[in-house]
Amino acid sequence: VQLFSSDLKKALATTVALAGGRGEGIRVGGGSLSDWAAGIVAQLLRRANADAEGQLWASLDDVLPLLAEAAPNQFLDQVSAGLNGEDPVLRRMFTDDASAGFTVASPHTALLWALETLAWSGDHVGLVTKSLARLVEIDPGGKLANRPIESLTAIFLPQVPQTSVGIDRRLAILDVLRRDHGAVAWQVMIRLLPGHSWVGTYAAAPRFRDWKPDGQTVSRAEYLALISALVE
Amino acid sequence: MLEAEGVAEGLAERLARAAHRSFVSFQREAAADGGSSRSWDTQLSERVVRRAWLAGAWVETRSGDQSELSALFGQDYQTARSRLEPLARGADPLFTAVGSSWTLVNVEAAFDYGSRHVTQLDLGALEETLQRVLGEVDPALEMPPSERWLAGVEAGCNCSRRI
Repeated sequence: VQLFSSDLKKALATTVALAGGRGEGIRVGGGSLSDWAAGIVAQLLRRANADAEGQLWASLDDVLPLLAEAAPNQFLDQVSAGLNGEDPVLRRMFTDDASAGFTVASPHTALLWALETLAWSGDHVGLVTKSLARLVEIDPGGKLANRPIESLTAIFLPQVPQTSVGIDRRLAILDVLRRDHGAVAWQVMIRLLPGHSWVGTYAAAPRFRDWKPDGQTVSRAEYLALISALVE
Repeated sequence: MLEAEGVAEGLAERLARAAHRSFVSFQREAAADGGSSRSWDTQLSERVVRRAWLAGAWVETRSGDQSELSALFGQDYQTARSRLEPLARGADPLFTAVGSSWTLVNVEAAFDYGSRHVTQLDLGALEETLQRVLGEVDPALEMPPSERWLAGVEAGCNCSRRI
């Protein structure tokens, strides 16, 4: 049994998310509340990466989206560190393989929600796609339908892109993906073409940041331009 | 009804929740953007209230929560509780207490008031709490994946984990 309640844990993470998201102009001592939140997230996730079994990352599953909102740069830095090497610590987040038996929960889904949240931001979507591409590469597969390839594809969906950036930026990011993660980019592009039925839900959205635009629409011209670019 | 009158969806939802609590809550929520001062401002200038606001929510029957809050508040939990109890009652409560669960009535509005008073000492104390609570490794992870569901059963369904 965990020592602390889930209520306390989530509420504390919410306080850090609010401090990070709305505390930039609030000075306390020598820095802002946002700076303070960034320090907290960096320290916590450095500890998570130091745990080779990945148990701290997995234990944080119910607060990862809030920590991502609290300090996007530090969160992405530590995710990137956790994906390094031949046996990255974040591989331990996938626990829904055949041996899981009765269990179908897997903490990797929370990591995906955190990255989906950050993908709405034009400042962070580039690094998010790199992390998701790496997660696709190390995904051992499992019982759950919620996989990194679905989160990555959702960012580029021609009809309902799950990011705030326009078509030019999305195509530029896809180019980088093709260069650095060719096989993954190919899988994504095939899924984006007409005729491939995409099954999924809308990506996770931020609670305290204004990254997600209201009433986002894609014109027919923009839709056709993206499909043409993919075919080329 | 509020949305039909042209009130934005998010604000309408917030106002409806406040109206459900009390007419005074509704009035103060509606006036919040206009700079009306609620009693929260005065309450959050007091250290124990401010630190309870920073904690946000807890379950007082959970021994880990109580001991951690005592450390954060800088005083015995029961002493702090007697100060917090009146703030969970009245026309415009800061907290809501249902059974053993305490939570802020409105985290975002409370942040607007609390952040005006927060000190470096508050942040230092909160940082220690954060590292202990968020840094706790779930004991269920010591079990093989195929047996982890048993941890929930043994804990009387601590249903915090999600698919």
